[in-house]
Amino acid sequence: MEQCQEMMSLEKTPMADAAKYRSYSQFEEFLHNFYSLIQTARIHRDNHTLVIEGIEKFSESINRCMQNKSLTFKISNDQLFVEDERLPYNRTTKNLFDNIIRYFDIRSLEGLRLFETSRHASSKEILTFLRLLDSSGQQPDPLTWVTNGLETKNIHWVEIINKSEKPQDDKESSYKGKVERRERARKDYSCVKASFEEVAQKIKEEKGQVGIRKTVRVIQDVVTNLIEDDEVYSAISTLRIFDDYTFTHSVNVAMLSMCIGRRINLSRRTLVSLGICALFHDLGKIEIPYEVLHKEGQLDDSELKLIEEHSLNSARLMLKLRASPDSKARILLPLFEHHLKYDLSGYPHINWKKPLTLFGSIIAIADAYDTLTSSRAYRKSLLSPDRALGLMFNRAGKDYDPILIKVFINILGVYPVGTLVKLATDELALVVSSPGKKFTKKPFVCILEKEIDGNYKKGKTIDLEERDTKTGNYAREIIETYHPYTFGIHPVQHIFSGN
Amino acid sequence: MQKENSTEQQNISTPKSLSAKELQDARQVINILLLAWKNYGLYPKDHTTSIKAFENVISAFDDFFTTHGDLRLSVEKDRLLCESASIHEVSTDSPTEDIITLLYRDGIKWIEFQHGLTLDELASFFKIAHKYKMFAEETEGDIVTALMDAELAHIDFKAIDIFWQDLLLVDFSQLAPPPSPEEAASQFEKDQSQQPEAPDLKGTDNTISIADPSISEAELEISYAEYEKLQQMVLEEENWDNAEDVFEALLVILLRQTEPKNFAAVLNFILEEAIVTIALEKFNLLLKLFQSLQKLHSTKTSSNQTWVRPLIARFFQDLSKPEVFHLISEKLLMVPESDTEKLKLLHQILLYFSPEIIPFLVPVIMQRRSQEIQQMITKVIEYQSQIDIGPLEKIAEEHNKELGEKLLVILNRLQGDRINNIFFKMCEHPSDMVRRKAIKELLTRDPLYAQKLFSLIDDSSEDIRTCILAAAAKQKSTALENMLLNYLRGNFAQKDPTHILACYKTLGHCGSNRAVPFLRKILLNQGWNSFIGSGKLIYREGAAVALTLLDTLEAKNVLQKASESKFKVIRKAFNGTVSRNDVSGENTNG
Repeated sequence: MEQCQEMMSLEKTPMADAAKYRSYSQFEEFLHNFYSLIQTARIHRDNHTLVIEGIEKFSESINRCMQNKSLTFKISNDQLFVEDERLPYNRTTKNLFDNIIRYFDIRSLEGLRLFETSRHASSKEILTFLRLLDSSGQQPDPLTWVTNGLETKNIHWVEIINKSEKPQDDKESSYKGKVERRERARKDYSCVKASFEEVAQKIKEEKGQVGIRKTVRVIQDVVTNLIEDDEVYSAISTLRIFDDYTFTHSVNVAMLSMCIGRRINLSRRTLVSLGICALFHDLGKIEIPYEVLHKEGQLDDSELKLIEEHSLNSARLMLKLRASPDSKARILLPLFEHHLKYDLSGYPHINWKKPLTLFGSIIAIADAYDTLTSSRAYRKSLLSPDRALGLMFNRAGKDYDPILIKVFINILGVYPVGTLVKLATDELALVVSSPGKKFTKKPFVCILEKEIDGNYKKGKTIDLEERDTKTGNYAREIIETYHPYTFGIHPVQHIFSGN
Repeated sequence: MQKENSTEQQNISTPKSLSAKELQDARQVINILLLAWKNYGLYPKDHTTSIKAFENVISAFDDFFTTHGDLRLSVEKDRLLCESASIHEVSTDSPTEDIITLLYRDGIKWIEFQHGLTLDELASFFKIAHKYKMFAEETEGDIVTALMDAELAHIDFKAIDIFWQDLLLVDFSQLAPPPSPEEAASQFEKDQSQQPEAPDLKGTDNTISIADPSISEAELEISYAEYEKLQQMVLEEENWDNAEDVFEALLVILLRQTEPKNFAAVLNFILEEAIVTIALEKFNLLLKLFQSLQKLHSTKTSSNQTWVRPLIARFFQDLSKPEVFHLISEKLLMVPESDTEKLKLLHQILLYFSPEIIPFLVPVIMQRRSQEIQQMITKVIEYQSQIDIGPLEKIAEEHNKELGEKLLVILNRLQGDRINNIFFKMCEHPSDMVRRKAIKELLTRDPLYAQKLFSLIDDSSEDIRTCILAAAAKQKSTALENMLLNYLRGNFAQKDPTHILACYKTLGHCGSNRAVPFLRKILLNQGWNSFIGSGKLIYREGAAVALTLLDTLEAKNVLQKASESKFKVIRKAFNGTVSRNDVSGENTNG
């Protein structure tokens, strides 16, 4: 890109800077259109208006950015470069850049090079290329998959830059990044839980208005990290601490709610509100006596009433938080609504005729999922995560918002992380990841090996997409699913350990 | 906000070779920034000094960005670094005043001002730092949370954890084992009768997995229509405005409270929300809220919930306090008279407040020239005064002519002894106009009030004196007769002849034969003395007029004697009555 290089060689003058910033904004626009089109194409068919519009915008931005014979963008050291010039991060582009880096990282690809002929690429070709690129995440060798695909389709205006001969330190860096993200999620989880416990304790002690500075700050941190990698947060929400149910449940619901919010593109600020709201959704339970909350068997009428009042009490206790009236008003309704159900047949039993708020609907889903997959004193049977989703999907439109349920399933996949599966090979495995594999029935799993003491240890991680080289059939098939606790397994112990 | 990462420390600690020029420019821009911060605390934001200081900062940053690019500064406890070079040292005299100290206190590790920084962003940055200047343990947020929330596009920063450094993280390897598989399996049947907080598990033994082939991918795909709806839902949430639903929910919560302290806590929040609602001029919503609370107030509560009514009454009292009600006053001053709908709503809303608002409504009447608005507020005051007249009584003590006149308009609509007492107070008002109107209103209400008002017979205003006498002249009254006799017996040396004559005339109207001896004495005695005191012609004329108006036999006898007197001055006095049209039998003073 000569012009770009020329620009870089210019003395620093106001004119040169102005031109540079103009170029940055063009590249940002190009990347934005590229990533938006991928997302839109995932949801809609080729002839959909949004897809057609997306292609047009993408083509236009190629034309604007293409100053020479090619346009190259690549990722190096977690930074984006266009024609070897690093694109500066700022608040408005951070999310986009992080998403693109992650997108390519998952596919072990370094970047793209578009040639001048891309200006004349047809809509069909553009879509074909993008779909190839998108589906490469499910392939063992994404580079070969895309390259061969492009060759087959006779598309030559674009080529993939591979992380060829990945240096050892890059692998280490990738592993290190993964471990860091997990550690960050663990720290965030611990901090969110601690902050909630602190607030709940102060409210219980009736210490007047309770500040939530620590909570706000840690939720803001979670949002920042979750935007970068939401999978690790949906994974950590499989954590259950049996003698600490209310607190871990609240944190799990907060994490899952924020994952949903992130997926439907809520703004950062709204995500923080959602996180706080979800965290405090069961605040009212602190007023329920321990014996009632943990009673085994049938509850009598007064106990039942106490339980049913908890959503109202959550809303009332939330008023004790030291926050602006506006902040409190925003999180009041969802607390009040989270057991009302989509068709308003739930509790509190009142003549409420308004549809649930978006926050209320999201929290209801996250709450139900975590509850269904948790063991309680009064309900020790458990649904495996996929069956919990099946149950919830079956009740979409009655108990849950039918669109948000789909979003939730889109996030977790049909075999959510933490699902224990039995394979046709008679092996027991735990779903650990399904990046970029929407609705795939072939997620990444880690094989669990039974030890002499009856515990399971983490074995190798495998992609269930792998096929037997001889027969061409899948090497392993899922034949049954379980909740991991039925085998005494804590998913987080395996998901958050090792590579 | 950026997060900590492994390369972060490197970025900060690895010194980049800064040119002397860059360092000098950075120092300069920060000095200008810190000067603006100092001014921020000293002057209002719209003060010329503040505006100039802000403009200087932006201009300095623009110069810096153009030459050197974005400016990232590392924040330390007592200094600010550009790369590894110190460009500002916090003063040891008042470190807490320094913005750098505040940033450090809240955990900001570095802050970066980026190309494109705007005046608004800078103002927001200062506002946030100023808001959280005072450190308090129990707060909603701090500089970091507020900056994060503000999402300033050209101010980036990184904060470190200052709260949880010693926190023991959840240790996944130490988790207690889950319930035994056998126990879990045996429980399934029992779970058909479960607690309500959990989703209904009845029939879940047949629950199919979401991965079941019977559920197609197409079913799980989000359709275009759903996508559109989702976007709409997100948009609505981002532009959140559910105030009406919040009030409804709050009322539901309120109704469920059985403890006074909980009831009061919810009510307090409703109050906060009501204040926001006033500010947003959502009067329709406010009215609905008030109606609901009033209904609750009027509803007969069970004997063990006698605290409900006083708490609701307190709610309306709190709402009527000056610090809250000034919001409504402001709206009343601004509402266009053409906005009849809003006026109607305001009228209805104001009826729910307590009479404490009266002193704030009266000035509104004075400032708004619109008749509709004046009438509306007058009606409100009228209504509130019927509940408590106290505030009106206090206003009556204020000696402001315009206020007094407006108050009279309001008082005219009200009845009762306490209202009349206010009128009496207003009879002492320094304004002639106010006094006269108050007296007139009182005398219209009851002419006998003339006795009470008799002291005003010497009022400095001729109008008022005339008014009092005219009222006294309307009926025969022994009390008034006595008052007038006493008055006329007093020292009249300085009195106005017209007033003297008017007093006699009034005596003629309200008096009786009991006045005749006095009148005879004035008319007939000391005929030789026509120059001083009651010997003056005017007194004799007055007495003659009074006797004529009394029109009794005794009076006529005296007049007869006067007509036959050997003293010219007495005859002249008598003759004067004959020539006067106004004593021809009817009192024309009134």
